[in-house]
Amino acid sequence: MELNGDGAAAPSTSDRVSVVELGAETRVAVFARHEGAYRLLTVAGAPSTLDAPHFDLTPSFERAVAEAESLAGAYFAIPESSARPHGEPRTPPIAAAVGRGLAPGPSCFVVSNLVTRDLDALEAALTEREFVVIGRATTAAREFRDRIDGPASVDVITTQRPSVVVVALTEDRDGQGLAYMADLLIGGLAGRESSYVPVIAILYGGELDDRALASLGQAFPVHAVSVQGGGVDDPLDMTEPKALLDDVQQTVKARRFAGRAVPAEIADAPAHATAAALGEAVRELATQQSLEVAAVSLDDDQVSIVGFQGGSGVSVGLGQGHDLARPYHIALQTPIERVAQWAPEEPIPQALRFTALNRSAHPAAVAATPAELQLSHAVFTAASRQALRASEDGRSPLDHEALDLIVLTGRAARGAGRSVQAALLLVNILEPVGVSQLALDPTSSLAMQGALARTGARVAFDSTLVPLGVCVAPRGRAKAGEPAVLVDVRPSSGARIEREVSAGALDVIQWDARVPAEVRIWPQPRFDVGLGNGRPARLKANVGAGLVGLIVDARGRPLVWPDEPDERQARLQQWLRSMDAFPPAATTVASARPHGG
Amino acid sequence: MEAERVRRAIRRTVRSGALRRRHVLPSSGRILVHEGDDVVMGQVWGRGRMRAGVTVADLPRLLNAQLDDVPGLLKVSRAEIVEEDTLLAESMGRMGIGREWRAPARGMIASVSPRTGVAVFVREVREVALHCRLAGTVVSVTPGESIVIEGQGVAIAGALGAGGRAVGPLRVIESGDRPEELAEVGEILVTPDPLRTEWMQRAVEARVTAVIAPSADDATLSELALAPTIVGLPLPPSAPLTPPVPTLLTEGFGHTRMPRALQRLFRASADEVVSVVGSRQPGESEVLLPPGPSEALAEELRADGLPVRIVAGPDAGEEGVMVGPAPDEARAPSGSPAVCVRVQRAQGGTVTVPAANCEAIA
Repeated sequence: MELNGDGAAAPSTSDRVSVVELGAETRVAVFARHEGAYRLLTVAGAPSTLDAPHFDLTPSFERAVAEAESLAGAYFAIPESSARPHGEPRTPPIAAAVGRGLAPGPSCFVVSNLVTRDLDALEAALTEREFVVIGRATTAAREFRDRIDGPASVDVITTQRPSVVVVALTEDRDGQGLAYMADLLIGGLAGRESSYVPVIAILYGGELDDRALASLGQAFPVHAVSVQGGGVDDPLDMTEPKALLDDVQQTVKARRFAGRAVPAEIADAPAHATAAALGEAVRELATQQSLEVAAVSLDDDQVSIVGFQGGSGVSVGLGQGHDLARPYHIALQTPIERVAQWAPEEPIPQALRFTALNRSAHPAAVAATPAELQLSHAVFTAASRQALRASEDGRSPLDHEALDLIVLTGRAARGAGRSVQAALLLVNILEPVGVSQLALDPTSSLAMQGALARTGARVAFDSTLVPLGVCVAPRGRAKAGEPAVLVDVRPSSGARIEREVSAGALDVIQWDARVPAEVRIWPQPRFDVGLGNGRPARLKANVGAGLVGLIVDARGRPLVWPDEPDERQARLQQWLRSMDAFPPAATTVASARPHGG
Repeated sequence: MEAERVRRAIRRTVRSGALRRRHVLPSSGRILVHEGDDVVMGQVWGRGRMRAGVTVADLPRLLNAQLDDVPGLLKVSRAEIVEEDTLLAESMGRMGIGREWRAPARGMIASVSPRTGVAVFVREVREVALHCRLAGTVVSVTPGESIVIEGQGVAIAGALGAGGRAVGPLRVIESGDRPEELAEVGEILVTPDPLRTEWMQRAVEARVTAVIAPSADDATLSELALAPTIVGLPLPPSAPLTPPVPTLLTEGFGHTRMPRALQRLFRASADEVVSVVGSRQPGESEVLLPPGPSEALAEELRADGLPVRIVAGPDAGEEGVMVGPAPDEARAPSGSPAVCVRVQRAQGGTVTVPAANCEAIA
């Protein structure tokens, strides 16, 4: 340990690292190692300059670093002899970069006629190199042209725009496989107005077709190798294919920032997609605390929901792209009727498009009025619920009855006007059943911490989480207004609070946040908090009130809405009022007026 | 110190000085410049072929025919323009049940591979000359792919855009003036008023190469095919699939006039050759002005305080100059935590707004 100017102990420069997040803002998080684990020292950001008119990340990175330095002061970095001239402090080394569209490996589409054994080996090699397979056209039949729909595959490739198209063909009996793929890919992809140019990786069992490769090479970067094996009794030798995939990875990495200037220390840093980094953070949180954990990350351009339950992780999302191009606002991917379900006033389509298009055009903007904030929360809720139910069977991959801890992160976590808004987002998105702790990541650094953990560093994840409170949500249904559950809160000092909550209602119990409380729950016979209908429960440990308190959600599961829009809006407004989530409408209008002028 | 902090929080939409732009070949084409060459704005750096409305068909599979039989099954010639649903190829099977390939749109068969029978139908093929969007030096050439040019200039980010790239002399059309009376063929027009469909039609009739406007509303975006399909705006049956000329909106969706600071930048470059990129990809649209008067003006504008536009909230569409931080305000009126700034409005009066809702426009 060293001493800084005022005599306080500060860690040495080598004990600090930073992580950079790319998105609407360029953000820099600085971590200091303390007792073997990295803790967040500060995080700061500046509007991204990766797009027009700059196409150069440097200005926003430098502004973010300067902001981090002004926030952290002497703790940011210590001037040393090796520092920059004029005594400027040295920026802590960048351990990782994280963001939408960033990933250690490229996205790819696989076209193959490999037998299952060899296809598995190829996919394992891809996974090992962190390629993300986003589509396949595969058959084990040797006459692959008859079995895969080539033109349809080209349509999928055009839509999904993978960085790499992997073509793996063995025992190509008519010898025309590469010529066919060349004609398909050149005819379907080359020279389109989108200027989409994937890397083509070819693994071919036989002599490479020079004519086809030459044609492909005029339109795309091509890596090709002749492979050994691949017959029914002759496993594919993966030596050459693995070397080829390594080369492809380097080519894609070099093209990642094409057309944009990016500081070398960021371009060279290990890169992680937001969802993957968040998944790591949730896994660590769950493992360290022996809890079933989920995190909801809400940004204007992407939604990520990750969970770690029963020893395995799940991840769903919306708007998670595979390149660094600035995306449209997620509202444009969310059906308006689903947004309307969560908006206390009917959002007319034009108004929602206006908001979404202009937020796509001005990505750094924040909700300026309570009405704008309410609309953005309606979009976040609808988009997240859509992402959760996007599977083929329409069921969420999370077990909503086993969520011990739920965390809100992303821009919504930084922009919540009241803590209860953050809690409501979590409860409305995930509809947890039973008892769950809610937490806020107010600096939205969880993904950055996850990215740091993926480098092998030990990270104190819980050091940045702020408890929001506890949600008690019994399963069951009764007529609105009938008693649903009685909750008894006994703070270790202060008055005992007993609250009966009716079916269909939301309520919140608050007490001194400094005092832990014993909580007992008596559900009515038709309601269940996890031990069976009508069976009372007592929380094993005393709980703190957090920023919000204890939310009693007696709306039933799943949430059911009145069909009539007026009734639905009335019910939503009732929920928001009971939680004091937003200022009343009159206050909204008054506070939105400009000062002066 | 505080002033510096709030300046850092404001998004810049104008950059003047050294610029670097990558120019990409749209397809197999030819690059006509070399590393180290000095180029001027508008100079042709490459030639290529651009295709739109591409459909690929595997004819032997589609027609259930042998490769050698495919040429005989085609009903139209290559490059022959046909209407939508025209029969392009047909095979007669046993039992009289035939298979056919019909035109998915008005267009033509671009190619049929003799080796594989894979056919490509396109709505449009254009031979295009590729123009430098920036004057300067070619600093790198990737054969068959792209070049990078570095030079001086002023880059102005567009909020929304579509229609592709254009290069030409800049002309500012004042409010109330008719574009068809003032514009010359090949010019890039700037209007300070929100875009209207009939104005755009008159500009197109004057054969201008691009249009720069501050904003457009729902109906105009829809009629001019400026709205990306992802937005879900209904396109009238008569609407084109792409805008008639490259179009860029500096402010965005709505009825906002162009800020005076931006108008001044454009006027400073009147009659100069400028370039426009109108891209549906957010963050890609921009105007590039040559250095000189506009660069000097950008500096001059900044000397009087940072000119900003307000992009969200009740003051959206207002223009002004950032006065300084508002240290007593730590939240937006929405309640969200925010660094706030005071803005002296061009129309008079001062407002306090989140710095994130301001964009620097010089």
